[in-house]
Amino acid sequence: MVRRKPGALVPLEISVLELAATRSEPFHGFELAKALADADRARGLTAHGTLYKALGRLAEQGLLEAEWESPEISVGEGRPRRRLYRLTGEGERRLAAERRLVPFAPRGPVAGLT
Amino acid sequence: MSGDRLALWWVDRYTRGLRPDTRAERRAEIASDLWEHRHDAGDTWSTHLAIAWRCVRGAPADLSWRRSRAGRRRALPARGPLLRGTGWAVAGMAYVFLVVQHAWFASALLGLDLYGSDWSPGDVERWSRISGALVAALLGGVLLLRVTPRLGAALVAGASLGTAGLMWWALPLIGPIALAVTTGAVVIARRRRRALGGERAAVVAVP
Repeated sequence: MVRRKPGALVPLEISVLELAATRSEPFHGFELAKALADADRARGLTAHGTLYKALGRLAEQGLLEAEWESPEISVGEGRPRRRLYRLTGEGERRLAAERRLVPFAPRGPVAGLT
Repeated sequence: MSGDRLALWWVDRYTRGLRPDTRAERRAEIASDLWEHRHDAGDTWSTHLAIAWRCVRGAPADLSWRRSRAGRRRALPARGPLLRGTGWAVAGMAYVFLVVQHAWFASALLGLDLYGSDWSPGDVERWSRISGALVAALLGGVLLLRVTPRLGAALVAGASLGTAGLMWWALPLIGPIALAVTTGAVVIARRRRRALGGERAAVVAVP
């Protein structure tokens, strides 16, 4: 298995940052998986392990901010609590740097999160 | 097993030995994802299949995540129980598969007709008798493992490997199943023999 350089982002993580940049509101994991699948219909929903490992890495690097929503909201809506993510300032800077590194990569919102 | 149950079972497996708060967070996040998936796509068999497929495809990333969470020193001792648990689960499922398969083939002995119309009566009778003997060996072997471990393991292993030999055209599927069952039976028999040896020694020491 090829080891990635420490701190380097894989394409999925860059796509996550791209999508996060289109959102003013925080988003949860399944919402993100669905948006990624909508953006690339050949791909389908991202696997649990792949998705949450990527989100965890981005949060650890400070590129995304993660927080559990208030229990009152989830109880009120009759569903499990969501872990919500949002892009940080560091994430925005990193995304801009990645765009400079890969100038021919798709820019802007690939597909907006709904 | 539904897609949800498979996914949550897998979470419990690969987070075993990690910090309780890390385990709880991962489980809660996956449970939320499963709920959202079913709520979005509907609670149908195709949704459960999609959930199971997402779970299976993500397994290598889950294990990699586990390694990064556990750290090198903590991950090494925790890997043994994880692999052993998975091994027993595989052997157990393989055993159930063989028993169900042979019980199905042996159904004609009870006057049931589960074969379908494309089997000749001679073949049905022959396969039913063979499968009846094999299912008896599989079930009896497991019962005997406790009392006479060597005979029990021999019966289970003979029935499993015999199945692989009889169904040689399906060897890529039946071969690993038979090996898993045989390995499980041999390991249980060895442990049981050690335990019986210990019990005998205790009886001799304390008359």
